[in-house]
Amino acid sequence: MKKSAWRVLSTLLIITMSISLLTACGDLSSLVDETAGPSDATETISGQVSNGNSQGEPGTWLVMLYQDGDDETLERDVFLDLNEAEIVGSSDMVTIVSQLDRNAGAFDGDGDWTTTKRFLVQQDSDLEAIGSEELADLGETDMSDPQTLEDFVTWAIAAYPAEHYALIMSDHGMGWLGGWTDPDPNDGQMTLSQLDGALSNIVTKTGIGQFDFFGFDACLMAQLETMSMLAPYAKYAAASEETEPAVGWAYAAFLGALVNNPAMSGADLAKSVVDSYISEDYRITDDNARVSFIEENYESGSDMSAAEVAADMSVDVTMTAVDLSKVAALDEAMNQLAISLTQVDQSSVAAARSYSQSYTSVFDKDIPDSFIDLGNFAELVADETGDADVANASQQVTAALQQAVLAEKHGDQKPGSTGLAFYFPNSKLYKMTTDEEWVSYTSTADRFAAASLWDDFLVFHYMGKEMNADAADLSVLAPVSGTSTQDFTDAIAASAPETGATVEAPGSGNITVSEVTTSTDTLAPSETATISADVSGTNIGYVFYYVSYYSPEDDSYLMADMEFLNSDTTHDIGGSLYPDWGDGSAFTVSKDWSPTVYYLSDGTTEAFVYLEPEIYGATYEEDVYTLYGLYAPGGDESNQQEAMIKFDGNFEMKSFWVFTGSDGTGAPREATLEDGDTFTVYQLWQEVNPDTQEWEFNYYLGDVLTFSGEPFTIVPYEAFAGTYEVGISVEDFDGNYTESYTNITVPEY
Amino acid sequence: MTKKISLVCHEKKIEINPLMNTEILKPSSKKAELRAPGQGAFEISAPTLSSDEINGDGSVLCKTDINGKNIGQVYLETMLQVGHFMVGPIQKNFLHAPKNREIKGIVHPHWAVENEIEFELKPSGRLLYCGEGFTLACMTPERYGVEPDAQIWSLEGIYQRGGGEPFRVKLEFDNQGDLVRKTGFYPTAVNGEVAPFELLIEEGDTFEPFITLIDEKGEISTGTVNPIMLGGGNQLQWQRIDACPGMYHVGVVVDDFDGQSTRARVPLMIK
Repeated sequence: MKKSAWRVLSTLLIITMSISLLTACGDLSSLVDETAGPSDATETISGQVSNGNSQGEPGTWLVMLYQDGDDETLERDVFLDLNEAEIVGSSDMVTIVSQLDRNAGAFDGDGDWTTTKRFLVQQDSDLEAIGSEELADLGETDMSDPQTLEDFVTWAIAAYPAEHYALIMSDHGMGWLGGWTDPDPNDGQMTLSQLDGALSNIVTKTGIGQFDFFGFDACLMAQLETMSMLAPYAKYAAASEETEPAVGWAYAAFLGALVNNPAMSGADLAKSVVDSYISEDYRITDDNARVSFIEENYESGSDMSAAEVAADMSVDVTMTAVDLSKVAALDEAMNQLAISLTQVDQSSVAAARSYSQSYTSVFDKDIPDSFIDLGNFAELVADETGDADVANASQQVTAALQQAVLAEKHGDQKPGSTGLAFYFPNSKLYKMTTDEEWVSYTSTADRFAAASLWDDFLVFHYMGKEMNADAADLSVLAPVSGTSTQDFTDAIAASAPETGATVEAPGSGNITVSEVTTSTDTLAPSETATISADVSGTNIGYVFYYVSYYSPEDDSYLMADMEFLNSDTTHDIGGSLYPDWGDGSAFTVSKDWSPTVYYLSDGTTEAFVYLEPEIYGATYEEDVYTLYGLYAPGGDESNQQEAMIKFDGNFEMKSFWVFTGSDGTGAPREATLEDGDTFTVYQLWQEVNPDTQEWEFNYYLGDVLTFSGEPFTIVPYEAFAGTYEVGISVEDFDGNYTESYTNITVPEY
Repeated sequence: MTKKISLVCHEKKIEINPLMNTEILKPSSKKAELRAPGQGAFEISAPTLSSDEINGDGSVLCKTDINGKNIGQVYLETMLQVGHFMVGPIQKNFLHAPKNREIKGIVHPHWAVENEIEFELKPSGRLLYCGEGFTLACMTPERYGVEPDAQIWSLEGIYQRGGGEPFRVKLEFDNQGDLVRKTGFYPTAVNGEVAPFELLIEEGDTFEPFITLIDEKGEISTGTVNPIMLGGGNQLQWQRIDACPGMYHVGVVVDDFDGQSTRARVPLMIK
């Protein structure tokens, strides 16, 4: 039985909901960034009016491109999007501005600059170089910071006032989780809730009321949750249910349509985005650009026509234009569907989830897709349940969806797509996304959670909690007034799983461990103490003994040893061993402890280590102990990666693993240590959190060892003098621990 | 312990590199009862074969019963015994229900409570080629109820570009073997989620396909097979090959409505 004990979660981040609330509309001129603006900008370029446009005049448009190209995979694509916009450029009625953040690395074109710059987009037909007027070089900015977005948009609106406003955000998208990752400088990500807060600030500060058009040129953003977030802030939107190809939106086409006809509405612009997507992309339609595009994307086929390339690329794409004023009605229809679904067999609902058209998952590869097409699900669930009320509610959803979706296209490989997706996780993912300390669906998509009963239905579906049909407040989808404040805390709480004593996990054990007794409280290294404790309770999984050294200097405990204690009865199922601790009667466990600590040796240097036991009931040869640390190829500390070393019960090094994720998460990959590589061991300390006054475990860096061709070895030593906490820890089937311990002193010798 | 294992098939050596079966560390969840209405409530009888030993170009008839509720998709699956592991799936494909339903162009099966499954299996495998480079391709079908030529086959793995951080990718191929979709998953710094993007292959990139390993205890883990070098004017394509000789395990995989899989299989020797 594989077991990982007491893994410490110090690297996990907590998403905090942040909605800034501003209460006044200021003078727009006060919003102009002192470092950038049109005051010293060139008057005209290439026959197109650049900034001498009819600012603020009826019929004028300001199109703002928030272009986060700061990562290896998207830099060039986002850079090319701006160049496509330059094919059109600004006009006297349409001003286009961009804030583009590039990556240090990846694409090296156009001078390989890596900072964030603002541009007044001007006509230029060179796709490989930006010809627009550079208004400001902001240095390296964090495009994942909602404040950065707020600064850009408020600056642009103040600098280029217009009658109509369009904001297009491009980067990675992850549906209701948000997106807009930026590894430099802070390795951040903008959640949907944070974006909501930024937009609230923007419309309040600028007094524009609503954007005429809002675009997500990013993957997976056409969801009911995202559109519900946008509803107060914009009239029309465009986004994709599925991932987007690297080519992105057809900027030259839809911006060209706008420049040619600035009288078009936000709805027309949204539909133009859908109509032109892929099929009218300049990189496909322009003969020269297409040759380059085909070279990059196809191994052969340089003679492919634009239509052939577009057809080939369109088979699995989606794109949707949404009338955001109809989203409240769609949410209401969805609420009625949710209510009706509480009255039917839930396995039928689960079947509909399984079979509906779904889109790429942003979660673990082994978790089924959870972004489900709304219209397809509505039809399927009516069919699966065979219930008249569900069928009626389903029809209402379909009708509301048709009202909300102005235009939609999808490829043949995405049949059943109706324009908007929504989140329907399986049980495992549901559990994960109700955890405030990991990622919470209701906290992240908080405006949707306030307006919708869908999150409440999920609690019913997976936890049996009765749904309150009055829990939805559709007024949160109305346009934001200048002084409105919105707090979704109550809505989030209403659909939160119950916690604490009223609901218990079936695997929890109500376990008690008596005070640990010891045969002696002072122990020479060569001697042995027997510690004992009585354990009672149910659902007992594993019992461990553990040892930690008390550091008076730190008033903290350094973890030194841990091991499974064997039960008298051990079961074997398919070769997997697990203990049987009996029928709930109290039992006594004991352990002989000789003061021993362990060091890792590279042949020259030794480092104190704590080895985590992995397998219950294993022989020495089968046993596995894990040591965590930081791996630096060639000793390069700037390139350190989380890693672990596996030892068997004879302390022979068996394997070395490197995690792909930056924080010790992600898939570990077996790697080979090379001469000169270093491994910095982690030490596990138990200490008091000064904020909470709770004891918690944290990893700290220990000593550094260097690999020199021979496997690292574990060297046991007699424990150094000091006070040791020697304890018994019992884990129940729900993963909860109950401990008791005694102190044993190892004197100087 | 897990060590690299290898097999030789049609004079091609395939190395399999087990990865640790470690989940992303997450905080423990709230103490609350969780139910899964879509969880499978069915039984799969032990499959029987018309023969337990066939030639590489032969075929075998496999029968099993699947009785119960919440049966989502049913697949045939073939795993190959390599050392202490079953590796694969060497073959995986949908088994079709007697009744299907179609909603807006999406076909899905409608399994009864009692289902007698019978299918003929002609063992074969797939290799992924890029120029002269090759690797084993354990592919999964994506679309139920379509004509064979319209099937899309997916293959996930680890992608490496230069000295950059490796990341997960999903490659999708048509039934003719051509690559039709490439999705990379950009690891975000927050919470272990990934942001998908269209992958553009560059010369010198490498791809290590995932492979499923099942050990003697029945524990399922993921590994990778030989990395394959990409680009250089070479197309990435899969090709079907006759099954190489060895001990296989043939059976069915049943996915329930909660996305969980249950397997039943029986040994088959291919000479």
